[in-house]
Amino acid sequence: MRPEYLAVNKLSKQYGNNLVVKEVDLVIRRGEAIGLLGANGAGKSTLIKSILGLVHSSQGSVEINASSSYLPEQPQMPISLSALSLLKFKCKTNRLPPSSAQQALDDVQLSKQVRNQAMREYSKGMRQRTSLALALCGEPQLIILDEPMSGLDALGRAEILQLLQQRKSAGTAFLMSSHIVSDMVQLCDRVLIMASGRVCETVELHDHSLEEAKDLEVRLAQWSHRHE
Amino acid sequence: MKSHSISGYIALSLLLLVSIHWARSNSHINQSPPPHHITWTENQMYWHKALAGAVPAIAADLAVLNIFNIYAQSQKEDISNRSLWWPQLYTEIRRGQAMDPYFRDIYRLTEGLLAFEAGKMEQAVEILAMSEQRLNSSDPLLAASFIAFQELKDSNLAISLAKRASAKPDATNLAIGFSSSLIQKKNGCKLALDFLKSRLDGMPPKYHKGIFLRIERLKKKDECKGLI
Amino acid sequence: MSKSLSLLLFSMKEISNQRIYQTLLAILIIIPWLLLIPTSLFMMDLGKVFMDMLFTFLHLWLLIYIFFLAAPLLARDIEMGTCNMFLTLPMSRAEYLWGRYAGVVATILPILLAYLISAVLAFEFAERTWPGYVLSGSGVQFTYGVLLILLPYLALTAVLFFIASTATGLSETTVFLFSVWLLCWSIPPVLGAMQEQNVAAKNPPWIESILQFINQLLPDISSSQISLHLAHHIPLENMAVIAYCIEHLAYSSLIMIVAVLLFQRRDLG
Repeated sequence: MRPEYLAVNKLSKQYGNNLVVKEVDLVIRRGEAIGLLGANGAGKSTLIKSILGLVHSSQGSVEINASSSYLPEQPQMPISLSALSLLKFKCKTNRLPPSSAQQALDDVQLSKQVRNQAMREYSKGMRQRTSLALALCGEPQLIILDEPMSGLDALGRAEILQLLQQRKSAGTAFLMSSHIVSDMVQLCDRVLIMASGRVCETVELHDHSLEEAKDLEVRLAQWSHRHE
Repeated sequence: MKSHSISGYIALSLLLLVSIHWARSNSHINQSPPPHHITWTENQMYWHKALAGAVPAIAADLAVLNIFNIYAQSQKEDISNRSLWWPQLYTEIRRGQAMDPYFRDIYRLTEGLLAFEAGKMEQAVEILAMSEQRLNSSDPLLAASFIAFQELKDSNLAISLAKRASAKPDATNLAIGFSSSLIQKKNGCKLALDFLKSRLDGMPPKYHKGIFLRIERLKKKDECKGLI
Repeated sequence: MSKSLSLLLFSMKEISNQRIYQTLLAILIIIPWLLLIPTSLFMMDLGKVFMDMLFTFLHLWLLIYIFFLAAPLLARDIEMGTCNMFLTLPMSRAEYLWGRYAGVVATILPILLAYLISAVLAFEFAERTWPGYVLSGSGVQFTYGVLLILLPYLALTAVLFFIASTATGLSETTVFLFSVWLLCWSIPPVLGAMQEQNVAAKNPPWIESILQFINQLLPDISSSQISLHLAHHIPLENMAVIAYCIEHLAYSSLIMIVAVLLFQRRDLG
């Protein structure tokens, strides 16, 4: 059996009287991609932040047995620095060779000229690519992505999806939250549909086809409607 | 931008600059004298100290600049009206002294302006005497002694101040001579000689010659012959 | 290299790349020379007046640095979620906060050095221009004063981190920090005044007790007697200087420890 990279056990998060994540169980193994699908406020981002330790869970446990990285929904970066400086910083803190920074920026196709400019001059798409490069730098075993395609155009999304698929084939595990069902279907093996903080249904994806995407959208609509 | 619009902007800017220059040179309004009832109270000092916080010395410097301003404004008035400025002059000098009691300019201005320009002799002597605790200089005390003797006709105060001036480490023969002549006039030759002899103990050797000369001169005076 | 040290260097680079920092650096090189102009208006203690002005500008730009560079950096980190990027590298919250603090403090040093060198050269010039009115060794006295005055601002920076570790954003951080600074600025001289007999007799003792209590909680940024003494070349007592350094370093460390404890308990958005 492939090694477990992430094990989430009965994870709950409560703000005051409001239970925003309810007893979520989740296991991700090497080379596996799990999608979190849900309407706004379903608890996806809180679940991800609880897994990362950014938010303290009220109950349950999280065990990460792999090198991990995170791509936030709205990446906020030090805009006075260049993308290359930022990635080199990650290389220093994680004791990675400096060439990893250039490699990750090559992977997300951020041009050599742009990567040396201060990030205040970047477009939203460039910032998203930088943030993705930061998540991919050093080839972590587990990558947690919160809306990774936001800010990217259709071509950019296709390029990034291809890159993620390559990494997945090489054994990287993914936990990905997204509104865009078609992107999720292309990458993920299993999708957890969330509503009101609870995992309502787990859908196994087999052929990553358009039909599966349509079916997933219908199920999402049903669950969201039920929890309104 | 077309060349004629650029020249238009330049012309307009020049016109505005000329207007500003004209308006500035014609908008000068003479400062009116401050309210006559301004008085210095100890409570004011605490407020000033609280406001000055970590930089009381600069508050003293600003007080000196205010004193210059008060003097300049007062000189624009008729002689009869100048006295309207003196309460504020006293307040600023007190403020400066309270903020930085080591500041020699304050004492110099007290002597020069408060005493001899404003004629506030008692107040000037009071402030000059405050230097005793803080300065190693005999100058302010000597000036206070001179004012007390010459203007206030208070020999006791003048002698007391002169003695204190002579006790300062930088006391010169001028200070000692002035003290001894005051003592002689008031208390006679014997005490004047005792005073001069006592100065020899605390005085650097370079000043001894001058003191000996004064002792000799005192002994030769007609009124002292036979008394010493 | 430890993660905090990496973050220190990264923070230095991040802050020093900002235009406001570079402008501040350029202005502070010129300022000492410009201050010679108002200094020339005075009569006797020209060296003292020049040093007063330099110390006042030191306070001013240190405040500008804390309020306009350090506070927005930290508020953006926590409010906008930039710190999430650091924390998921991964890096512990303590490493993040200490690294950022060290970075913010270390970034003061290049401007401080530029200001110091420019001021010492200006002192040399003043000494030759107004011999007798500017005492020799003023540059050394000023350097000593600068190092001592810097210490309370390390404590104020720690207070900034303490506030930011619980505050929701820049406005909240700025308002609280400004309030703390205002109290730190005005309470010590008021307390000093209250020690005098005639004032103590007029006020009920509980007022002084309350002020003393508040003052104990706040960093002591007054340092007024230090600048006053050094400007007049009056020597400082070694024991008092040592106690002053210990007070501020211990206070900064204590506040940072509390800030880390609070930050560790906080949910980050």
